[in-house]
Amino acid sequence: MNRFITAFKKRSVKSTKRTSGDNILTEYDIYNAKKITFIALSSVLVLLMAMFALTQGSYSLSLKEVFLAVIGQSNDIAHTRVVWNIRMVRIISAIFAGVGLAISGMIMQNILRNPLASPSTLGVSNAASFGAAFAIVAFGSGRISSHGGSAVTFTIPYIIAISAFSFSMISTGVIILLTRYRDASPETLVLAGVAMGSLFTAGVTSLRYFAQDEVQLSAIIFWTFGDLGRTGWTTAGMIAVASVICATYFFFNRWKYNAMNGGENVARSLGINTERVRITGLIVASMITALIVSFVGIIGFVGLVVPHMARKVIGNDTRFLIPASCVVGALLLLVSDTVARTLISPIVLPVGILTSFLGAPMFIYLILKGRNNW
Amino acid sequence: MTLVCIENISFSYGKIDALKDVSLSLEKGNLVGIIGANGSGKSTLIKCLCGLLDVHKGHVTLEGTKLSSIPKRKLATLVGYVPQIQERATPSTVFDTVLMGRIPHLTWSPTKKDLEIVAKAMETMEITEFSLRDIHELSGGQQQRVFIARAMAQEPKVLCLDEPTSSLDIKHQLGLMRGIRDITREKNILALMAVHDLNIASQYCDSLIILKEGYVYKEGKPNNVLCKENIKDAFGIDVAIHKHGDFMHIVPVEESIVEDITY
Repeated sequence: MNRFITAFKKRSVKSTKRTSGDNILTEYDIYNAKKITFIALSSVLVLLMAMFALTQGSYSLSLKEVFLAVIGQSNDIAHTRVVWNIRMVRIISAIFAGVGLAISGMIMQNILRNPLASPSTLGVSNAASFGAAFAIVAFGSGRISSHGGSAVTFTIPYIIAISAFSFSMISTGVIILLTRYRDASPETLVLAGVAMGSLFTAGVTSLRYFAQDEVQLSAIIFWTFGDLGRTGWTTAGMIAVASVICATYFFFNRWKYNAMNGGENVARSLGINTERVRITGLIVASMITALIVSFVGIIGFVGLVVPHMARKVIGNDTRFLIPASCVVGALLLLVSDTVARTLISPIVLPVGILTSFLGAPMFIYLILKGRNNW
Repeated sequence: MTLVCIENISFSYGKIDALKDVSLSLEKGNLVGIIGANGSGKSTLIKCLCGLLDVHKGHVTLEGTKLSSIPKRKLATLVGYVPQIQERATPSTVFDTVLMGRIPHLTWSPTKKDLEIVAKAMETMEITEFSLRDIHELSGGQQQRVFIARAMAQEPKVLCLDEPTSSLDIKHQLGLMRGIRDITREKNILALMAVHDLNIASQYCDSLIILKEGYVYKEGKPNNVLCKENIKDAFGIDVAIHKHGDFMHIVPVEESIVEDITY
C-alpha cells in the first residue's frame, strides 16, 4: 500500500515538471485519471480482502469451500451458516461502518477546514456511546441476546440508535456554536471535543452504577470499545443503507465542499451558503456516526486517519476524495477487523482497540505537523 | 455607461459604523482604487459589493438590478472576489483552485467549455506552469495571481480585490496592477480594488475613491484627488508630491524633517 502511494506521488511530481500552456488540460485529465485508478484499485483490494476474510476464523474453511457456500452450492450446512450468518455479516458491517466513519470524518475536516476534526476528536462518538448506554439503562431497551460466541446483539436497536443520535447532537451543537466564533482555532475545537468526550465518558462510567444486571453492565462496557461481532443482518443492513445514503448526499454536494476549500469568504463569494452547508454537513455526519456507534460501539480514529490517507494520494478535490475516503475506510476497517479476529485466535479482539492503537500516534503526528501541510 | 450604482448605503458592525451614507456610480472598463486609512471602510465597501455583507441602509444596483434581489449563486456569476492572501485556504492544486471559479456556473460536472475557460484564465495570469502544484508551495505573488485567475474564471462583470498588492514585492505589485488594468480593458469589466500604496494607485487606477471614517471623502482622477491637503485630511500625514512626467510621486514627510528643511 505504502509503496503504491509513493510510486503514485513520484509519478505525479514528474508530470508537473513538463507543463506548458497548451497541454494543461491533457495533464489535468491524466492527473484525474490517476485518482480514478487509485479508487478503482482500492475497491478491488476491498473485494479481495473480503474474500480472504471469509476464509479466516476459528472454523477453518478453504477458499473453494467459502466460494461454494457464498453461491449457495455447499453441501455442508455448517459451512453455509458460518460463511453467511457469522462472517459475511461481520464483513458487511466492517465495510460499511468503515465507509460511514471515514466519510463523516472527511466531511467534518472539510467543512471546518480542520485537519484534526473527526467524530472521535470532536466528542461525537463518545456522546453517541453515552446515549446508547443511557437508553439501555433508562428505557430498558437492553434486552440482550447472545449471538455467535463472544458477540452480543441487541434486540431493540432503534431506541438505542435514536438516543445515541440525540446525545451526539449535543456535541455537534457545541461545535456549531464554537464555529460561529470566527477565530476559534482548530485546536480550540478539538479541545472542546476532548472536554465533551471526557464528560460523556464519565457519564457512561456513572451509568454502570445504575445497571440492573450483569448483562446490562457488560453491554455498557462493550460500547466503550467497538466490536463488529455485535451486528446481525438487520443492523448490518441499516449501517450499509445509512452509509450509502450519506455518502451519496455528500457526493451530490461535492462542489459546495470544494468551494469551502477556498476559505469562508471565497466560498460565500462563489454563491455558497456556508453556514447552511456547515450545519447540514455536521448533522448528517453526526447522524451516521451515531447510528454506527449505537450498533457497534466506538471505533475510534477511523474518521480521523482514513481521510488523511486518502488525501495523501488524491488531494483535497472532494469529487475524488469522497469516494476515495469511502473505499479506504472500508479497506482499513476490514483489514483491522480481520487482524483483530486472527491475531491471537481463537480470542477475538474488539476492533476499536486496534484502530485506537493505529489512530493515536497519527493524531499526535497531525498535531506536530501543524495545519498548513495537511 | 453606469454598471454599478451605490446609493446612500450604510453598514455597521454592531455599534461601530463602518460605512456612512456612501453613494458612488462606477463604470465599465475602469480600474477604480479605494484608498483610505485603516478602518476607513475599504474592505467593508468591497464586501458589500460582492454580497459578502448585506447593507443596512440604501442599496447597490448592478445594471439596474438591486443586489439584494439577486440570488447569491447568480450574483457569483456577476461579481468576482479576490481575498487577501492571509485568508486560510485548504491545500489544493492551482488548476483545482481556479476551477472553483466555475462552481457558480456548474450543474453536475465541468464541461469542456468550463475547463477551457479555466485554462484561458490561467494563461492570462501566467500560472500554467504551476498547474498541478499546491497553492501553498507558491510565493505570495504567484498565489495572488491564482486567486485573480479564479475570479476571472467566474467571468464576472465586476472584479473586487481586497488589498491584492499587500505582501508583494515592488516588481510583483507593478506586474499585478498592470495585469488587472489590462483585464479591465480587454474584458470591459469594472475592477474595484482596495489599495494601500498611493503611488501605485495613482499610477494604475483610472479613478480613486478616498474613504475617511466611512464617508466618501473625495472621488475622481488620481491627479485631482491626490493632493497634499486631501492626504493630510484622510491619513493625517504630511506629504511632499513630486511630478515625474505623467506620474506623481508621493513622499511622506515627518514633521521633524519638514522643520529641518525650513531651517
